[in-house]
Amino acid sequence: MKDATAPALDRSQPPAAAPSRPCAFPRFEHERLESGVSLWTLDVPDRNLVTVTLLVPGGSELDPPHLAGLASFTAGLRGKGTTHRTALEFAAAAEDLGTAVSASCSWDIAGVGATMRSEDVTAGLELVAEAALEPVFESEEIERARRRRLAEIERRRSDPASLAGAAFARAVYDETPYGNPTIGDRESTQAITRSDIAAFHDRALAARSCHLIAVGDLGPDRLRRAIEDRIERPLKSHAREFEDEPARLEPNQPEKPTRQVVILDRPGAAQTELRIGHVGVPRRHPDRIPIQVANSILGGKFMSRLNLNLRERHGYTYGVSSRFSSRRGPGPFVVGTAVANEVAGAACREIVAELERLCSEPPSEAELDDARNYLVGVFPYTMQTIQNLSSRLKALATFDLDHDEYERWPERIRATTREEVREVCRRHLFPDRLTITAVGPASELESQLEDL
Amino acid sequence: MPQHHLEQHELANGLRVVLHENRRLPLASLNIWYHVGSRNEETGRTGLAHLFEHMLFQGSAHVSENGHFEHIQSVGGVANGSTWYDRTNYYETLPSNHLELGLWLESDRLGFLLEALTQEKFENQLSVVMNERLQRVDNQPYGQAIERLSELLYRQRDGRSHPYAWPVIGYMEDLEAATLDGVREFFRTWYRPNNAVLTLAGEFDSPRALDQIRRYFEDIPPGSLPQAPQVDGVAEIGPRGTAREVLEDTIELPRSYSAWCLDGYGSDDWYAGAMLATILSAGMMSRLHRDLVYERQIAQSVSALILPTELCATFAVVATCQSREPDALGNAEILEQAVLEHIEAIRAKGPTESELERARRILLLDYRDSEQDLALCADRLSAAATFLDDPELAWNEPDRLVQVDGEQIRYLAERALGQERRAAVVVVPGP
Repeated sequence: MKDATAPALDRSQPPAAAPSRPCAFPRFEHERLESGVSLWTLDVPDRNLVTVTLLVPGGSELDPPHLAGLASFTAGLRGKGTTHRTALEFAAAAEDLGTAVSASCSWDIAGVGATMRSEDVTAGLELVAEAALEPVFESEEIERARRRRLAEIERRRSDPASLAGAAFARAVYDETPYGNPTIGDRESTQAITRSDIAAFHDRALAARSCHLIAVGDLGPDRLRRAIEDRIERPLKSHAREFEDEPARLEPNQPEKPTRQVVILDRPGAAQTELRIGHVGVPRRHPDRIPIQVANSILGGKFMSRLNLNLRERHGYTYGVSSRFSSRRGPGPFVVGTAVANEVAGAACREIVAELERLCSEPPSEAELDDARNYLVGVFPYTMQTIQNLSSRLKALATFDLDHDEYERWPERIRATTREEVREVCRRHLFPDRLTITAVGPASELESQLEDL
Repeated sequence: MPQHHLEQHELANGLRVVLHENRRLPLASLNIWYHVGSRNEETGRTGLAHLFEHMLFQGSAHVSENGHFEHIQSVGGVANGSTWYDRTNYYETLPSNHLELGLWLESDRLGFLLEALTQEKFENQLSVVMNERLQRVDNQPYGQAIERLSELLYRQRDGRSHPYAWPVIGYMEDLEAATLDGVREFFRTWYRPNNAVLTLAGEFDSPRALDQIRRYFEDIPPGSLPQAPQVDGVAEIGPRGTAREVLEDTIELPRSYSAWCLDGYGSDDWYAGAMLATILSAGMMSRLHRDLVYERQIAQSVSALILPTELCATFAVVATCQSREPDALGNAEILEQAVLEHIEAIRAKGPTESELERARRILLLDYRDSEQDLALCADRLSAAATFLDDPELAWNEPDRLVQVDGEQIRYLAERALGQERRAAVVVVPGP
């Protein structure tokens, strides 16, 4: 039933956009509870779902050098036996709600979380709090976890992507915390004792450094009562700040700028995994916004310079991307890709050339426009689920960001100029200080990478 | 607007249209399924459907070589495509005021692709796809196992390969032999509006969107489609007597794969299989996880799954050993036997009522959770329209799962999960 009055369709130009509907980050509440715990709530009434996370301090940045993996080992035991339930009883209680209570541990912070039907929020919050605050660290569960962690460490020995990530981190960060895998190594995993774990956990029970984040269909006061019972009561006697500080996170820089090439030999490997980069900037760095725009142009989206070059022009790879990690300390800037062995050297040279180009000339106005429009336009897409929204609040809590961070973010992205992009690239991209890590057949790689 | 409201239409050229309004956010997801996948390939020419998917992102008559992604990303959209045994999908989620941009792009590559295809683009994307295969299969621990498992499971009695026997991404030697003419022919045969479902989910006005869809798509001519591949019934597929192989790979932890063939997506058996997979391995209290990972600690991980394929469906259990010591193959075989004992127990007695109830709750919560994602909703509607001829059936998925009872699972296992119908691959550390 075609409209006879409509003009003939002109396919030669893309159609104009309709008027847009603004979409801001939804309103959330933040308050300090009596115990000192920060409570973050965001009401999303139409899902019939709630996601609850209790963040507790103690991320992997705090792993002592000889006990790498301690933070994530400790975190992983939360929920594997509590003062009220064995590990199996605990799992059964969660699965009876259809959910799983999962422990997490990043470089910066640990936590316990679960997603549940809104009518189950009281029971769900009880489990989350119990796992986070009342673990018993029974030796049987510790040994069970230790075996699985050792097996996981074994597994990674033949996983090219894991090997490349670990070799890169070690080459860039050396003995500083970011130089170790968060899971630790065989020796440290074997060395960790129950008292190391229990002591690490006890220090983390610092209410003023804990954050409870609830997003979803929160209802009038169900949550409030559960918080009083399950969070406030156990934490009232722990109303203090977390005081542990990580060892120095910034590695020593060589005096003269220099590139280093690290080849990890996998004889017979069908492809080469590459990780190329250097020390980046902390999450709270004031240049973070223009850096994000610059990285979007370089390798942060599909139509980035790196992907257009390595994938669409040269066909060296299925994909390549770059990122500045978000960590409290200076996490890595890294370009990651997997390429055919015979073009590994050529691919590295193209990556280096793209970094140099971005430092030497500002992007075109059109390229900048595309990047800014992409970042701002994709924002609603990244806020679809209550888990997406919860992650955003976690970032505010973890990095102590301003509460209007997301409200102001689009205008700050839009205000980024070409000159600013070039300026932050000069300040934060160092093509002459790259660590180039290649995991593949050394016999094929050595000659290709020797004059990089 | 009720949460599960939808409209369906069919254009004069046979294009089926599904519209699902959901105004939570100013977003619109556009999802188009072509009812063609690797099953429509021939032996010796595998990988063509997927290679073709890549070519669809290389521009068309009015869209430049990288124009598809450029247009979409420059307004904050997210786009991709994927190839599967039975279908190829293309999708983009856009700020809702740019919905028409998506219609322009999708209609241009359906209606006006061939004139923009060049040998140079073809060679570039062939190289990208070969790298994709290297990354996902050849340089991936255990990468060969699934391919070998499918080959063993999908040998037909007459010696022909069932169309699920070869990998979607194709064999490297077939990719090396692919030609631009082959790609052109594939397009002419299968990329027709009467072989597609277009779904919109998100913020839009249905009558207006339908008008726009008509404007962009209705003048694209339909074609005559080849018949669906002729294949044996499920009872005829699969080995007679266990078909089992031991592979060596650069891995640390030995792994065992067992697979059987069941009725395809949408059948009662398929839903019973999905429930069984959940009972076996979803959560720490599931049968396999609790016994093999938690209690006996012989498995590092274990996973039971059923693939949503149309002609029939693979039901598989993948179990990875916690250690290669003292004897890698021995450990894998102990684990393999332990999995089979659990399958036998299901065949004899079925699951318990409490297992069923837990699995129901897990699946229902998971479904509700996944409904938050617009692109996934759109994809499910396209799937139900394509495979089940009715997009409304996408909403029934939770009901179908919840209705499965214990006896149905037991009877399914008894009929379909016997030793004599099993394909198996064991992977041990190589030299």
